[in-house]
Amino acid sequence: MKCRWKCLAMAFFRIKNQKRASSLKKHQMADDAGAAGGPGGPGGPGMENRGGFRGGFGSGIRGRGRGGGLDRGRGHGARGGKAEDKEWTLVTKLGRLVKDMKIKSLEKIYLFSLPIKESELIDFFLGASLKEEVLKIMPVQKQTRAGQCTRFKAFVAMGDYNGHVGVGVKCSKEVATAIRGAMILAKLSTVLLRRGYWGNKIGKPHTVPCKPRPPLMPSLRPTATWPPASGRRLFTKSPYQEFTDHLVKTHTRVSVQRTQAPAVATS
Amino acid sequence: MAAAGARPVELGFAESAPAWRLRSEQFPSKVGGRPAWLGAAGLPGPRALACALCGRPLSFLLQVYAPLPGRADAFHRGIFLFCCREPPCCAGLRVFRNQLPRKNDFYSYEPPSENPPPETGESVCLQLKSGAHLCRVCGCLGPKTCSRCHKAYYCSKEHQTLDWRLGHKQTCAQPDHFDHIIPDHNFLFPEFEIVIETEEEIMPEVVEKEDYSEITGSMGEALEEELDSMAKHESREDTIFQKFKTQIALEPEQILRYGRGIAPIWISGENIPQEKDIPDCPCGAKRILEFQVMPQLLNYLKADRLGKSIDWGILAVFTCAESCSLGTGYTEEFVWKQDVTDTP
Repeated sequence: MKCRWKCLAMAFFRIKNQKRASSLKKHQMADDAGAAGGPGGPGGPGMENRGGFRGGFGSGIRGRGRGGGLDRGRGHGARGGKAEDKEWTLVTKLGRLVKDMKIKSLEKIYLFSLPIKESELIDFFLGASLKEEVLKIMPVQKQTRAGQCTRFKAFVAMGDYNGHVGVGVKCSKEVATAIRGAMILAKLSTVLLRRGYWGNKIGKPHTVPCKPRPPLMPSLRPTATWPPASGRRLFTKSPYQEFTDHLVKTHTRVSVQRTQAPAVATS
Repeated sequence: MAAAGARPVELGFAESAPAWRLRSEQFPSKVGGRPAWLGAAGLPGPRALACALCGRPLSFLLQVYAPLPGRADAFHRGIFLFCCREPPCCAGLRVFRNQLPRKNDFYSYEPPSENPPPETGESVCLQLKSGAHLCRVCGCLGPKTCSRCHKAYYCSKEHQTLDWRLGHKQTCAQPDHFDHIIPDHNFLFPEFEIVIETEEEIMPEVVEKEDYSEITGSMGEALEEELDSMAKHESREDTIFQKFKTQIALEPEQILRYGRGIAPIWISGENIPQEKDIPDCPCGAKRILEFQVMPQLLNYLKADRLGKSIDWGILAVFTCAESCSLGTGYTEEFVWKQDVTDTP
């Protein structure tokens, strides 16, 4: 029994001298514990005696299945700190239920008015059809004793072309951070658009019920000032604007099929 | 960001492990299954392990083997966390701490063997070295026994009823039954080992310098105000939640953050414990944060239901700063539960 203990201790010292890069992290912890106690030190916790929570001799010797973790540890440096986008680990109960496929559609979440706190859920449901657009970056300034502090306010709109839209705004010292934050907020603020028919009932519902005032709801009345010319960039991409364009142009009450809309928008 | 001093945070991850490694002799840190009790004397009784809110027995959630270097009386030290998983309660939590010196009545002075034991023997051992029997269902102290055969031990009436329905009814009447096959009562959580790694420093992200000048100034003033009022601004809750997500983003699968006296990362602005919310230890010393359990653990527990089910944001475990030994038994410590806020 004593031999076994000595062998273990010797194994540790050998490992320490080798300094293998792959297990450097873990064995450094074992080293620390060992250095503190010494190989046979009474009273001080030696490595073999599980002194300290620092992975101690547990994780060190056993060569964990955390080999995956070790690779991941090295991978962090290689990836530059950007997380993988396929593997989401969700933190809220809603997220876990969605991942387990117990909630099958975004509409169910809307139906029960459950708050969405993680933007990954929207990615999960809407995925590829999700398009994001930066509407504006606005520098805002605050007066401080040391001059003016400029931050950037980013407006981002996002949606799939099938009834889900969201707008987010975020202010930050760097443009990229503001845009990223605003994108997340846009996803969190996703709403479902109600569509019906106005005029002919051809095809699927495509007309948005709206009043002329709010920016994202295109006006049906051609006399409205919406959209202003500068906002054309957003709405040439949106299907809702396609219909407004058409209505402004023709003054008729003809509903346009979605397949015909791109032809109209370009004219 | 509050500095943790020189002490880095240790992260725990859940990994599957063979059953022999998760027994008491190996001094494991584990999630789920039956508790691998450290000291075999002074176990918390059924009354201590009853949910404070609904009265039903608590399920074993996790245990952490956390010795204190430099303390002879805390050479072995374990912290055991129990939770209530029965709907509609799903809220009670209790945590216990036990510590032993190196020379004790239950374990050898020498470290345990790293090799699996040669004989498989019985899968579950329901009796401690001290002679106390453990409940067949939950693995906690089982003072009650089946009134007919007196061979099956339980901690409470609920567990006796559960086991009766799930198979003991048949085997009880048989004389000489060896009830080593214990059915799945759907009471225990799936079993994992907790593997420990030290947290790395968060490297600053490389910011791409793109030219956004063509976007600025393309919209009129009125539109900006409209958009501002319609768009979603970041509320304080959002900020805290996003900060939480960023801090765990480097290791998104972590289930535990360990560090005596570190500052915890909160998942919400509400329900953060103040000094006065954390009771002092009966020995007189203050309680400090020992570790926090992350919500990612729930991914492994597979306990989510569409209705009410066990859920938390953060579980922060506070233990005596002196790690006092009030007897050789299990002393109760304090756990604080912070939920993810429901407000959008």
